[in-house]
Formats: sequence, C-alpha cells, structure tokens
Amino acid sequence: MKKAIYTAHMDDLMPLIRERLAAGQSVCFSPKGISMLPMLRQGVDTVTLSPITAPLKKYDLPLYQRDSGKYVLHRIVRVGDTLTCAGDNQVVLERGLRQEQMIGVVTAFTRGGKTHTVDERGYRLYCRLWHHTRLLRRIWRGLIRRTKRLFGKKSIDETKRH
Amino acid sequence: MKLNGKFVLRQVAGNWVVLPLSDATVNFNGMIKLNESGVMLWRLLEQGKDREALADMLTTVYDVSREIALEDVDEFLNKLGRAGCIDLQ
Repeated sequence: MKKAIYTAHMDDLMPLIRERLAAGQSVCFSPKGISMLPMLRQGVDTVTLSPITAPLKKYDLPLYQRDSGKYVLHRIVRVGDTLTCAGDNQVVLERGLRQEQMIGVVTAFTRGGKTHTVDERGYRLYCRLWHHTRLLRRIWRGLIRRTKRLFGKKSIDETKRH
Repeated sequence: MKLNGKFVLRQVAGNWVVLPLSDATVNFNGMIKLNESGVMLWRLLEQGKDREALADMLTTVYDVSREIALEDVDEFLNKLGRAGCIDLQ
C-alpha cells in the first residue's frame, strides 16, 4: 500500500488559500524560493497572509497570481495605474500588475522563531533601505558576473541555465 | 483513539487534504494530504471505528497481510497523532 499520508505541495493548496482568504480568514504558510531573501528563508520562515481590506500601498507584500498562473509573493515597489513588484532578492522589477491579481497581503511573519508584524518600525525601515539599495545590488551583481567571466568562471546564472 | 474534531477532510483540486479548523488563522505548514486509502481510513475514524476495523478494511481492499495492514494503520494513526488530528491514548 502506498503511503496514506504525505505532505501537501503548496501549489496544490493555493485554491484553498484563496478560498480561506475570501472567507475572511488569515492563512499561515512557508513561502518557496529565494526571491524574498534576506527576509524570508525557504522552509524556515513563515508568513501570515490576510485578506486585502484596504488599497495596497508601496512596500506591502502581497501574494498574487501572474497571468501565466504562477503564484508569487513579492513586494510592491511602485503604485500607479498598475502595480510594480519585485522580490527583495531581485534586481529586476515586474511591471503592469493589476489589483485583481492580488490575493492577499502579508500582515505578519515569523523569522528565527520570532513573530513580527508589518507595522513594526524595524521592518518598515528594512523595506525602505532594501528597496533604495536595489540599484547598488544590481551594479554589484553585474561586477561579480563580469569579474567571473574575465577569469573564465561561469556565473551562477549561467550555471543554472546549463 | 478518535478524531478530535479540530480538523476536517476537504477535497481541493482533486487532492484530499486535512484542513485545520482555526478561529482566525489556518496554518498551511505541513498540511497533510491523503491518498485514496488514507481517505478511506479517515472515513472509518469519523465513524468511530477502531484500529482493528481499519486494518480489516485494508486487508479487504488491498492484497496485504494482517500484520502489514496493522503496521500501516499504526503509521497512519501516529502521523495523525503528530499532526494533532487525533488524541492518542
């Protein structure tokens, strides 16, 4: 007999997350990937996602669904007619996101066993600092990539591609 | 040993998951998914059936010995116990 119980994959649970948020409940889960480093570490840190009850603002951290169907948890870095988002560990911005793609917004997170709300001063400072140093990180990454190329080493991106 | 009523079985996009019933926040970390036999075992627990009855079902539906069936049932119950679905006595 196959294992009667196994751990559910987050992508499979997304319809349920949408349903619970629509019902007014909050949901707690551990996000996947490295795009929200250094704030969120996969398999270690968790976020509490709540229903969106007010217009989303800059630095909010929503869960949204791309037109491709993929679910993403990235930070809003610009609000206009559409929203622009980026992961904290990303240097490229994702533009043209619509309000109706937004599913829920992070209201708290647990990091290193300690729970923080998004209203905390330290967190708000981190959001601003990290966003405003994005250009510096982009230049830094470019420098590292070029240096590695100069010495004949494959960059991390190139290694992943192969 | 019986389900404590803090969880409910739900089908989501073709998958059976055990959903915790929380007041304000639903914790999706480590949420468990049941396959076909897991769902049958859960249904029997809902009816108040005991370990022996669960093993009977497995030996009837699957080509397994009683020893193996009891081992599988124990593993199932232990996992449910660790997840907080049942109160192990």
